Amino acid sequence: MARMKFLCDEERCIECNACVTACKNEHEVPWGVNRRRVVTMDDGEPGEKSISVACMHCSDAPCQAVCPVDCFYTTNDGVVLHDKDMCIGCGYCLYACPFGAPQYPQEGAFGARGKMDKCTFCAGGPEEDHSHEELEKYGRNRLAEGKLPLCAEMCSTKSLLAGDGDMVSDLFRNRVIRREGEANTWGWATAYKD
Amino acid sequence: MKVKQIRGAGQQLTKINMKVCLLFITLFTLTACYEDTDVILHQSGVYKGKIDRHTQTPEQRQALLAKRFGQVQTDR
Repeated sequence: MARMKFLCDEERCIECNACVTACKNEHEVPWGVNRRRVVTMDDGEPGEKSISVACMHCSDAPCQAVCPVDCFYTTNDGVVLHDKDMCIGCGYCLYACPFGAPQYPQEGAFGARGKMDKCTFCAGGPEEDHSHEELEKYGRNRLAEGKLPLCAEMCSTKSLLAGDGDMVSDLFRNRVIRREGEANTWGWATAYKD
Repeated sequence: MKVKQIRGAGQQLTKINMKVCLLFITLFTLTACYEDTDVILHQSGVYKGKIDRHTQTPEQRQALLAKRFGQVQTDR
């Protein structure tokens, strides 16, 4: 069975933020919530690198492990989703997530923390496919339409890749071979900078 | 005599109206006390939310997405 994965090629990302805009527009994400964002390292210095980050749909998702109400589930194609009706907005998943993917909209008169919202890999949620409830709670379900996430589909430099992990890694491996370089230009020793 | 009778009937009507009003207020107040008894009993590590039913089978979905990947994720 396919396992859906994102991969951002830092050699190609030009920090245009079009993926962020596309995601917000496609799913009508509320003000203050960013399901995807672009992170730049050594910004303004020669050799700066940018990557687009969202939920990475982990195979052994820490958010799923820590959720006190177990509102997370993984689909057949490896997409980590959650049921917003069960979510209590406690924020544990945000502490557990290494990518800072879970987001919380402000709700109510005093701006209390609402139910968690995150990247759905454009796969909607547990509601019926293409239903109004699904659209309202989780955004569009592009996977059910036979399409891949919009952020990756419209990436102008094809830096952001999304799809079956095997196909994504094949494509990336070929790129690295063509570049005659290492897959990770930072090197493992500098993966985490000060 | 007639004036007294009319007054008496009027007072009775007011009493009945008051009773009906009280009954409505009580019913309206009680509706707020309704509690959904369909409680989900939590079991650690078990997802008990709505089941995500897809319109396509996993095989159909995989084939469609693989085709799409070839169309939109190719290198330039």
